Amino acid sequence: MAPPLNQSNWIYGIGDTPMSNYTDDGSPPAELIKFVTTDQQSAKYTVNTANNEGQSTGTDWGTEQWIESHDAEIPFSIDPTMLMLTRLLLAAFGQKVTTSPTAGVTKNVFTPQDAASRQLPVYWMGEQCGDRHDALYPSCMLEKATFKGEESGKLNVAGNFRGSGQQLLGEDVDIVKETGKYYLKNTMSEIARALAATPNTVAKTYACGLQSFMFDVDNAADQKVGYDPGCKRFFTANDPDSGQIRSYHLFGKRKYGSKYVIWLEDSAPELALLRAQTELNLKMGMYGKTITGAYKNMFEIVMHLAFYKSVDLGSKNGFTTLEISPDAFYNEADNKIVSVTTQYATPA
Amino acid sequence: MSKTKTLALSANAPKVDFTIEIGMDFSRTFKPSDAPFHIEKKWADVLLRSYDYFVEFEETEPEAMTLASLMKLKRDVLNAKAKEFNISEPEKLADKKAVAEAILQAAKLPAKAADGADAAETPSDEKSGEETEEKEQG
Repeated sequence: MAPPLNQSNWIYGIGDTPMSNYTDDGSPPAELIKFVTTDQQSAKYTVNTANNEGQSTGTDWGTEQWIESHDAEIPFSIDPTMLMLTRLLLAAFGQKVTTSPTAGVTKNVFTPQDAASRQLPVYWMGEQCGDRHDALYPSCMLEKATFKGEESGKLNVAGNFRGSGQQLLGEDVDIVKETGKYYLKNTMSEIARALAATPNTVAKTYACGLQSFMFDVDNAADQKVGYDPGCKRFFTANDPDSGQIRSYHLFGKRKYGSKYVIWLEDSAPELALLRAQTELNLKMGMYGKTITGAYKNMFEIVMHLAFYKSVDLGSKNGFTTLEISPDAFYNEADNKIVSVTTQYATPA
Repeated sequence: MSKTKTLALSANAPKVDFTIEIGMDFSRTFKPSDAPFHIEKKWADVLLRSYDYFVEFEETEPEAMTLASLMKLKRDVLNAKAKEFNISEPEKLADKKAVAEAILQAAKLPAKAADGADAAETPSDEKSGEETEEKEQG
């Protein structure tokens, strides 16, 4: 027997663009983009079974077991490049506007997908361990994601994809390196706020005060939904005994939350506002290297109306450390909730 | 009843080409020079709800349509307008003039009014009259 390979031999991949529809899993993509995770977790693949234990078999034990369904969960943690971040944001939000504000620059604005369709874009994902393991998982929907920056580290995204339950082995799809990689770091961050009474005029900046941030997207997908008997989708086509796979995987009651740890001067007027729970709109941005002219690599999150908890973590040398946990609310003034922007050099 | 809506760009819309993707079912690039846009009603409503880039296009009253005004439209816009008047497969008609004349006929308007020439024959098609009425109610 060949010696086992090491954990460091594992690589992961994701489709460059979403699948054309949830059930279009008949033809794998020619290649996947390398998905360089920080935690090297492989997919959690589950075959759900049932048995007849407790039925009138005449014994204390079950005598039969059968397959009901399949499930594929792909937890991940990644320090994404700008392009990977954009891919994950499309998976998380489902709706984007793309423009080119000037030659060589691409800008995307993501907003929560309109509920006219509750199916978010889904991706092919894959994993390989040398030549010993090669698996593809179609129809992977991003159920949850946390975008975070801490201290001087890179922007990190941790989350959870879930596929249809289909698993294709031995397809030998190429997993190729990303090109034109650029990363954002928490040292590029800034946070600004305005009173919600003046929507979209986020102005005041907490200079030098942002220690860490987290932004959570929870698409509240019900994992039981999508195993629809009438759809007759099975692990092996036309073999009902091979177990069901999902026909769709829909978002539920979505929620966008965040957490910021900031420093403020004890005398700062913002401190009184935060302690008074004054509603705000918030903008957290990471601004990286200039692409051209005034255009920079960029990642911005705007909450158009935020209510929050504010906790004083302590005061030292004239500065108070605060943990603010804003949740996004629907702003009836401009019909907006959350908008997220990425901007990067247009790939060649 | 029409299954499309016509959207124009608002002052908030990008001044350059932009692409909107909604889930896996809708993706379209909007070129400001191509406005107004004829869009399936379901997605037009989503665009109006989700973005302040669009406003519902104020259709020219049928009575104000002339052969000349219709001939100024791009062929795809003209075809979309023809479908609003329940003219099936306008893209198969020979040229823009044929489409425009079919629209005017459906709207019970003189096909050559814009040219100042002979008025078109009065349409006798009962169906076209019903369609016009339906549109006005809408």
